[in-house]
Amino acid sequence: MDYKEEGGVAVLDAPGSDYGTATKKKSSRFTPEVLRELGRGVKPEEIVYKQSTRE
Amino acid sequence: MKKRIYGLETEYGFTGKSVISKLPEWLCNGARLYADGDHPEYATPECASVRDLVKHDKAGELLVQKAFEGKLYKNNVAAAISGAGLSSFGCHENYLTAARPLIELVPSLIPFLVTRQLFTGAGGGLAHGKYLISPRAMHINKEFSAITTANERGIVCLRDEPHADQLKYKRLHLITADANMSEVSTYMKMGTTSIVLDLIEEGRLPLISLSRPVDTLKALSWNTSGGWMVKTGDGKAMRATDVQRIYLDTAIRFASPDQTTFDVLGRWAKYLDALDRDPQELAGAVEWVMKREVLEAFAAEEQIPVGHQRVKNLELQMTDIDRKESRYYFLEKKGLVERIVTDEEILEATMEPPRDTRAFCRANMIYSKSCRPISIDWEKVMMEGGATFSLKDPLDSYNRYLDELGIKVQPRRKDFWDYFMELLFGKE
Repeated sequence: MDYKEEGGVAVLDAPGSDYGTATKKKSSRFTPEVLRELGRGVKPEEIVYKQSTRE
Repeated sequence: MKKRIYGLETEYGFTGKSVISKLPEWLCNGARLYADGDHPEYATPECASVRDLVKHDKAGELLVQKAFEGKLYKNNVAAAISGAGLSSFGCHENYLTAARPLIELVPSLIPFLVTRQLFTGAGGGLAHGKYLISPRAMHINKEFSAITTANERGIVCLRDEPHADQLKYKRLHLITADANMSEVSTYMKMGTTSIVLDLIEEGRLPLISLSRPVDTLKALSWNTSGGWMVKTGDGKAMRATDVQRIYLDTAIRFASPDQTTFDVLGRWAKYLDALDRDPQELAGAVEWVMKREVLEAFAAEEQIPVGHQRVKNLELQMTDIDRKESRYYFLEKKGLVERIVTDEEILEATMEPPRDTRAFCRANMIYSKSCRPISIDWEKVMMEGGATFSLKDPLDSYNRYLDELGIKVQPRRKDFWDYFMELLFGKE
């Protein structure tokens, strides 16, 4: 299996190689126009938000 | 499927400074909204159909947004905390069941729940380096447990708090799944599980077990390529979709023939076939498939790696509940996302409780000008002066109490109507 256990908690491994290179275009339902419009609303900087450790 | 009570409790990721709600804890639609520690939580009212539940889950997004100042994300796996590993908060499913020990449900539920993620997973995890079918799966470490946190979360949760007549009912409280933005995913998550509970209660299910179910849950989540295989308890290899088909085929033979059941069974069969052929066929309906397609297409269009910060942001912004900014709702408005309910139904659910459960009575008691409740809980309301109204049966709308108190049921107050109208239908 491709994940490891640390202190009983599942921890994800480092990014796979396919995440380090630009993705090749595949057929998609999303037109370039839709993707460009979608992208205009995507924040450029890392989004940091408060998180909870309990539930 | 049998009439039963459904509920969803969703904890939201939050950017605000202070988790102080501007709305009361018990809302006029019968829901409960509060700060659970340091995150907002919305518990739907008791619903008697999965369709009602989808409406009220979506209404919850609007109400939470109204109540808390700050950006809210409907994702229940947050970023890693330095030194503390990954953090996860919950999206808890609730099903009213017959009064039999919950432990008896475990053997039949585990293979179903382990493989259910293939059509209910929300998808995500790029921030941690790997896109997963169900990010929540990585936080489940036991086959069953009564504990809901840390390393003790179970595939089947045995927390035994029925919030109802204990001689008549139990409440199955499942914590193993993701929070879903997709109406279809919520509908199928609750609908298929309810049908499986019907089959268990009727003793219809054939016995099947999985080898190492916790590891299998995580391994399935890890594999977004398809061709999912599992090992059964007797050591045979089997397609994960075929595990689901054991439940589906039994349901087709024995499930009660109502419209919702037909719809859920039809979708269930269609989704399993598509998962075997090419999961991409489900990009309009299954959330993890849709999100993966969006992220990859966006990265390709922008000529950046999928691991790029903007793609990670897009993944997070797909869970933003603010309809003006959410990238999920951008796609929904473009007609690229399948739906179960309408915006008009969601709007109504922000104000109106389900009419066929105890939520109806509780909400009307609380919001009647002639009543002064001093203590409110799921199963009872106490009035000033000490009169207590027991609501032990969640399937009862308790109209007799409203008659007794002289409460005339009227349309809810429309305080937030314009605000929600703008959120749902307003211009961008």
